[in-house]
Amino acid sequence: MNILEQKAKRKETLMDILPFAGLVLITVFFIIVTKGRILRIDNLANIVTSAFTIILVSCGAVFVYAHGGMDFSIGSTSGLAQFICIYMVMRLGFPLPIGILASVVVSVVACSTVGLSSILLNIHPFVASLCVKNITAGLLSLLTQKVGGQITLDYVRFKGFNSVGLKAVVLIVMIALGFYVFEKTKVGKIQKAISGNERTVTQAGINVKKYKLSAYMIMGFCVGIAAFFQMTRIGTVSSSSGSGLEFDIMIAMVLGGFPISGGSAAKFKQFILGGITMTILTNGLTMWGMDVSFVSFVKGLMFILIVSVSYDRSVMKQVSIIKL
Amino acid sequence: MKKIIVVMLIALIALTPVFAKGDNKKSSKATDVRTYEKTKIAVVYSTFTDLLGSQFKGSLESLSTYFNVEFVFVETGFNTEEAMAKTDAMFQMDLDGVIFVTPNVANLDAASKKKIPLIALNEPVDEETANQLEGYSNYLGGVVNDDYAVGCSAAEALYNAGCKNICISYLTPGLSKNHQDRYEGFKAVLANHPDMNVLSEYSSRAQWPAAVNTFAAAFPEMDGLFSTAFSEPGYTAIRKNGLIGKIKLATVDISESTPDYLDNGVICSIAGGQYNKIMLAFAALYNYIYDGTRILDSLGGYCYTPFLQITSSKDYKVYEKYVASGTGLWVYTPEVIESLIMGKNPDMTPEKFAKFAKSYSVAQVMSLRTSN
Repeated sequence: MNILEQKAKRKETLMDILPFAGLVLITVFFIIVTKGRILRIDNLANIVTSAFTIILVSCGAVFVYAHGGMDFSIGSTSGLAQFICIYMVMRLGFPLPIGILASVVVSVVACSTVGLSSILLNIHPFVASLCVKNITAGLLSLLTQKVGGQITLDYVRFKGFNSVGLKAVVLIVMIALGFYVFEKTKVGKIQKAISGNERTVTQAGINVKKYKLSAYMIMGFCVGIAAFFQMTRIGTVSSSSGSGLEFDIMIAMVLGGFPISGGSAAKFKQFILGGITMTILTNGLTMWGMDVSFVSFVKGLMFILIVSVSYDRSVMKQVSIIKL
Repeated sequence: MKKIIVVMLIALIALTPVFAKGDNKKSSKATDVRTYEKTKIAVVYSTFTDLLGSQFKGSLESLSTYFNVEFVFVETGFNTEEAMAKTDAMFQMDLDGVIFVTPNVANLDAASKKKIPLIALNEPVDEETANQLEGYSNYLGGVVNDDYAVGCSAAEALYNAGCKNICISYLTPGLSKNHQDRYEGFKAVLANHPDMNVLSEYSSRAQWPAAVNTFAAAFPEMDGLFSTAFSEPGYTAIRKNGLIGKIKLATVDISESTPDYLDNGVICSIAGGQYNKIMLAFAALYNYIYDGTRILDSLGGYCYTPFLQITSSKDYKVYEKYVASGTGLWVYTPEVIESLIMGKNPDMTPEKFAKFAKSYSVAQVMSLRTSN
C-alpha cells in the first residue's frame, strides 16, 4: 500500500470513528455531571424508550435524505396517523391490528404524496413537504376539534406496548432490516447514487422516480409504526401530537454526521448515532438539573461541539471542487 | 484536527463551572433555624420564560430557603415526544414530589413507579383521563383556576359594553385546557345573547398580534374582541391598527400595558394574577411530604381559586405592588404557606384551605401583607 492509499485508509477509518466520538464525549460528560445517575438501569431504559421514535423514523428517513430529499411533514403526519389509530380503536371499537394498519396507511399515503408532488410536479421536496404538512396539520386540527380537543387512550390496556423489551426488539429488527436494505441492496445504493448524479443514474437505465417514491414509502411505513408507539407512550392525541418530529430527525441527521445533501458519504449508522446522541443530550441536560434559563444556550453549544467532531467536511470539499 | 480537539476540551472544561447546575434556591440569609428536612421538588411546565412561567418560578423560589426545598424546573416545550423524554428523565432524580401543570396518565404512571407524589395544576383534560388518574395513589389532586367562569365573565363584559360584532382569538385546541375552558365559557354565554354576532374566530399558537391584524384588516365592523390570553405585542397591534376607541377587549393575563388600555377604554374585562395557584399547589404537596396528609382528598381532589379582576389603572397599581412582585414579594409569604400545612398548624383543615384559596383577591393579599 503506498503512502496515498495509507492516508486514504486512515482518513476513512477516522470518518468511521468520528460520529462515535461526539456520542462518547457527551456520554462521559453527563456521567460526570450527573454523578453516574445517567447509567442507572431505569434511566437506560428511559433512553431506549426516548430514542425509539427518532431511531425508528430514521430507519426510513435515511432513504429519503440519502437521495437529497427531505420531508417537513412527518411530524403532523405522525399526529394524524396517531389520531386515526386511536379514534378507530377507542371510539369505533376496531381491533388494534386494524388501528395500526390504518396508522401505517395514513403515513405511507402522506409521505408518498410528498414524493409524488416533488417528482411529478418537479418541485423541490421542501416545498412539497410544507404543503403536505399544512394539509395533515389542518386535518389533525379539524378532527381533534370535532372530538373536543383530544382523545385519551386506555393507558393500562395498552401499557404492554411501552415495555422496554418490546421496543428494544422492534428497534433491533428495524435497524437490522434498514441497515441491510440501505447498505447492501440496490434500493439503498441507488438512493445515494441519485444524489451523486441523477442524470447518470437515469442514463444507466434506472427508474429514478420509482426509487425516489419508494424511499418516501419506506419512510412512511416507519413513521406509521412509530406513530402507534408514540400514541401508546403518551396516552393522548391532540392537535400538537407529533409536532417537532421533522426537526428532531434533521438534528439527529446533523449530530450523526450524515451529509445534508445525501450522496455516497451517507451511511445508515450516522442517523442512528445522531438519534442516540440527541436522546442522551436531552436526558443528560434534564438530569443535570441545570437552571432552565441556560438549557437552550448550553444545548446549542454542545451541538456545535458535537458537530465539529462528527461532521464529514470532505463532502463540502467535494461539492466545492465540483462547482469549480 | 488536533487544534479542534484541544479547543473542544478547553471549551468543555470552561463550560462546566460557568453553566454549572443552577442553584435554584434564592440565596438569602437564614433568619433562624428551620426544622424542615431537605427536599427536592420538580416543577413541570411548558415554559418558564413567559410571564406566567417566570411568575411560577419566582414565587416558588421565594419559598425554597424557608422550607429547605430544592426546586428543579423542567421546561417541556410543545414537542410532545421531547416533553415525555424530559419528564421520564426527571423522575430519575430522587425527587420528593412533583408539581405538574396538566399531567397525563403516562406522567402519573412514571411517577408512580418511583412512588413520587404528584400534584397537578388544572383539572384533567377529559373524563377518561380523570377516571384513570384516580387509580394512582400518588396522585394528590389539583389546584384549579376557574377558566370557564373567566370566559363567561368576558362575554358578559363585552355584552354590557354594547358590543355586537365580536371576533375571537384563542389558543389552538389541545394545547391548553385553561384556554379551552375560557373559550367554552365565552361561547356558552354568547349563546344567550343572539344579538351578538361572531364575525370570525382565529386559533393559533399564541399569535395574538397576528389575530388582531387579521381581524382589523378583514372586519372593520368589529367592535369587540375576546382573546383567551394576550400580550404586549397584541396591545401594539391594537394601537397600530387604529383600534383604540373602536373596540372593546376582554382577555386574560395582566401586563405592563394593561393600565394604559384600561384608561383609554379598550379593556372592558381583564383577569390575571393566577400564579398563586402554584403556591397553593406547593402547600398541598408539602402537606403530604411533611406528614402524609392528603389535604385535597376530602375536597373531592380539587381546590379552586379565582383569577384577579382588574378594572382600573388604580387597581393595577395595587396589583403591581402587592401581587406582581413589584416590591419583590410574592402573593403568599413563606409564613402564610406554612400556616396552610396541617402538620405545622393544628387549626388548619381542608375546608379552611379551600376557603383560603377561594378568597384570593387583591384585598386578601393586602391584608395578609399588613398582618405579617
